[in-house]
Amino acid sequence: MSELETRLLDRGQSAAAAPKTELPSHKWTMLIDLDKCTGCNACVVACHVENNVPIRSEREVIRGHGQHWIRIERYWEGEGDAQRATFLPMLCQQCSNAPCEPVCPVYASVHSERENLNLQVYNRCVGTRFCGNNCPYRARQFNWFAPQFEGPITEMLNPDVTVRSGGVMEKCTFCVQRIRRVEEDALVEGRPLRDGEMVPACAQTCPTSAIVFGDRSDPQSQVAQRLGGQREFQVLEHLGTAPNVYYLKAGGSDGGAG
Amino acid sequence: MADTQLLGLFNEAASTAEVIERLRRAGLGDEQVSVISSVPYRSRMLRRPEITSRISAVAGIGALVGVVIGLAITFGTYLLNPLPVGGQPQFPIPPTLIVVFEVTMLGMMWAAFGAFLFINRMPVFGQPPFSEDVVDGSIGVLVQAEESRSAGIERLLREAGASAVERFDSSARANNRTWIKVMGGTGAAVTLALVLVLLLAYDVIKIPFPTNMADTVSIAHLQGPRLAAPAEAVPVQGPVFIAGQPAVPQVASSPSSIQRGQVLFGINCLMCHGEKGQGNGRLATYFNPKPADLTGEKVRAFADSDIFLVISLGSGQMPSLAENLSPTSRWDVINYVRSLQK
Amino acid sequence: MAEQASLESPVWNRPLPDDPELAAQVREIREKHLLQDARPPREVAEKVLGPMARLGRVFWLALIVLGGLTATWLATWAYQAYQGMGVTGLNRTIMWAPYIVNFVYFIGIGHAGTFISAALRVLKFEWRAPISRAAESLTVFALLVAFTMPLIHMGRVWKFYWMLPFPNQRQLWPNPRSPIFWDMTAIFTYLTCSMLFMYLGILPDIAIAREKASGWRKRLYTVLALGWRGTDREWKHLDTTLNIFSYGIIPVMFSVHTVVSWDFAMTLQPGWNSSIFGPYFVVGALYSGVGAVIIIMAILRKALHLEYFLREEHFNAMGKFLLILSFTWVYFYFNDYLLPWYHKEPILTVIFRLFTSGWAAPLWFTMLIANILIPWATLWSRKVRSSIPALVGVALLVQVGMYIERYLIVAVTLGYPELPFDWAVYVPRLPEILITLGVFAFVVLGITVLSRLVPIIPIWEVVEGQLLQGTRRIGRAIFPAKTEAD
Repeated sequence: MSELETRLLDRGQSAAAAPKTELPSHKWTMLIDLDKCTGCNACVVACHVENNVPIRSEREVIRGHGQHWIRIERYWEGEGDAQRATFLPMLCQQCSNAPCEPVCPVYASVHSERENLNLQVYNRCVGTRFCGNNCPYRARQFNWFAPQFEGPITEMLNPDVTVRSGGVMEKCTFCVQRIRRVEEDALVEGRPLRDGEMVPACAQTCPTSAIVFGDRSDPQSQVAQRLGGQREFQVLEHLGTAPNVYYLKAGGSDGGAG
Repeated sequence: MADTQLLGLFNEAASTAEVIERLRRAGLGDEQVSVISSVPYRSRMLRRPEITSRISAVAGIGALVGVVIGLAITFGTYLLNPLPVGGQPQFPIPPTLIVVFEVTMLGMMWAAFGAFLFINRMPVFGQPPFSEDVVDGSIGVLVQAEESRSAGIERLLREAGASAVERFDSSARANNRTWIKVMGGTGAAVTLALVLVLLLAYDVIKIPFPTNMADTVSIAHLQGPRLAAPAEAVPVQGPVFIAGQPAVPQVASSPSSIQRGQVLFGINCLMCHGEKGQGNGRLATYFNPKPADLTGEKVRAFADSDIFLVISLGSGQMPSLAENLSPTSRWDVINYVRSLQK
Repeated sequence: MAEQASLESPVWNRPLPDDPELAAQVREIREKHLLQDARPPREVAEKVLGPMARLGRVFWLALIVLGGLTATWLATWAYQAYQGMGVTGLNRTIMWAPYIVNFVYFIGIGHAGTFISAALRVLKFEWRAPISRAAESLTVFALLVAFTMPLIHMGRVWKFYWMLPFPNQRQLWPNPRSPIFWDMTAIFTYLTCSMLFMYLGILPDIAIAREKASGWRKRLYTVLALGWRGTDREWKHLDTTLNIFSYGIIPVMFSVHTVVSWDFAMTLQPGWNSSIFGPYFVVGALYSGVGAVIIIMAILRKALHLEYFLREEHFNAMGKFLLILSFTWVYFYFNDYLLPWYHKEPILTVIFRLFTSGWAAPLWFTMLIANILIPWATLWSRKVRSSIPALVGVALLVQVGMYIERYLIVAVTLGYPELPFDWAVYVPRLPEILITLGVFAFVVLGITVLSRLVPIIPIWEVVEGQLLQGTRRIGRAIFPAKTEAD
């Protein structure tokens, strides 16, 4: 047992006696610099591994049943020799006014105001797929079949993340299990969260550090510092969904992302 | 006093109106006479008193009940589940209006139907006083009267031109009884069904169903067995604890080793496992399951290396003693435990 | 003279005028109008109850075929629930398609029944009398099927009760903000109240059948009639209750399809989030519904030999109704399509081009031809409206057109969200096709069986109508005239 887990266990045992500790609220925000994105898909793989996202066969993916919580949308610009690919990593935008939430008849899609996250309660979901239709980003992934993890892949499963059953909607959680862990770490150590402590799997694995993650409400955080520039935009801003994923426009000068 | 029902059949409305007038003159109250037809004749056509139906009032009450239920479902949910969704307020009005409207209409119409059944004392599952001639277009005049007057009334009906007069035993009371039976039975069945649903809903009755998400494939914290890495996949540096591969060479059992082991056992193990290692130390009562009986069959069957791993890593509620006992001292303790087993 | 006669002799014995010219006029009126052509109630009842009990070879054949298709539906559903929704052609972009198309379509054809029996009852359109029950039975079965559609389409159908509001150990109630919850309440209200409404209207007819039937039918009708005798009290209460239902069910009917349209209009999907969707869907529902009633009328007329009841005048009236609804539907459809054409919002333009010149163009033009061109080109003519095969042909085309319209809205438009990366095309696969075939078969099966169990023509309403109608002579001409009894 790791040191941390022992501490957490101790805390759990004496939780009844201990005074109730309110976890601080955060504005978790992701910033994706499209100038740095090379479209390498490492984030997709990292996400699959971290979040137990089912891996579908080639045939199923062709039929549109592939499940990726983050995907690289590739757009072609220009003609002939001048044609370039641009990449748009697309994941759940964790909207503040999420269109997927009110349409759910069973409260499977709800909002956490403390963390500014859009939560999906897998075991409440009955699979009406209304949320999936109402997501303008099509970021929600449906389990068209019961997930199957063959052979040694079960060893890959992250114990901190539920494996969803068939007929259930799922989506990017901003690696909420990692958020919990760092929050509780900080709580045990009696200190505020440090910027850069919380890194989701996609950001951790991004070879060009195109993805930056942090708490926007902390003015010193890297995310807060980099927001507000001229390159900043949100996807489908005009719909009023108020996403918490910000993008920085690609200038195309460095030849990388175009 | 037994009542009799007399059914006189007439061909059309005018003569029916006339006979009703005659019955009234003969001193029969309007409530004793009713008209049976397979087509609705209006009261005015037959000179019958206007009937006011109370069903509308009941439907209104039903609508009010519907409003209350609708508000309860919506506002109750908002109160019980204060879950923020989509940036909407906790008490959203427009969705509430939609639901309340539908439930109101539901209440109104169900109440109207219920009132219709109640007022008519339906259902009656039997053949009521009726005549096939009514189906064929006759209008029946049904008179309820005391037995003693029935002969006179029958004469009156025939004189007025009735094509036939039929006689029925009064079954009004029997009707009431069947009505209570049927409605009571329906009520009991509905209540039973509701109770059953609630028992299921509160997991009092459980139906095993292999679709729970808890049953899907998953790996819990520190859950084994895990796959060992292929041999030599990981370069070994320093002590490693892999089953069957003692990292530190075993110390052969000798009186001095056993003696050292006894001292260390007394310091590190005795409080739980007991003086003789039988799992009955002073702290043993605090544990469930109890500390292992080191002289028992199970521990006897352990290889020395297994016991070494248990001491090093801990097992269940037993903590790891890796910080308290050096690898060599662990072998001393093992030798002592083996001596206890003899 | 005629009015005087009705008081003295039963309505079916009204004598013809002595003048041969006037008599010929009366005969012509009687031939044309059911409610003028009074026959003894015994004969009217026999015309309905007789064919009902004679189950011919065609009936059993239909029963086997339709029952087989229905069984296929249920088996396919079981297979799909066991395997997962992945067996369908749905994909990440188009998460709703075949079942929701069916849902909208069946809710739609379920609207005509109520409209004909409730709205026309309130408005005192007497010609509806023989049609109303067939239309109501269509409503009931279409709604039953429609109610199963969202269930068939659910990922975890075995948890459907999580959407019902009742106390439970999960301590979570369904979300009243969700249009699906509105759907549930609206359709439940509409379905149960339509059934009760239909049952109330059947009661007096079942009592008639009870007297005429024998054997198991007699026992069945004795129970179903609930002891109806037809006393003046019962009639009065029935009239009041039917009035309450008529007035109550009309707003519910409008709300049901509006709520269905809100399933789409509440989303951010381009082409869906339009405020005109409510009335547009309601009119579309009536349009396809009236068409479906015409088809059902024609089938029942043939199968149960109801030539006496369902006459040219009824088909003519329904044809006119269909034409008016076609005009109205086009008005809303044009509204919905003018906007993207005019303001050129990029994504709406993409969808518009897709319909006019993209891969969906054949579907779109088929729909326009079936829904607009052919009804407008034909239904103005009395000859077409009065010819049953022609009218049924047009009504069938309207069904095809309206089904395609729903398909274009749900399955095609949904494939084009704002981000082009997600654009997708839905191609139906075998499970959806089998289930869709099966539900159509089930609706027909339901009506087939029901029409053999209960009088599918409201005998009492027809006889009442005949009682209240007569003729009136003005100068040398005789005209049908009706009595305002209420």
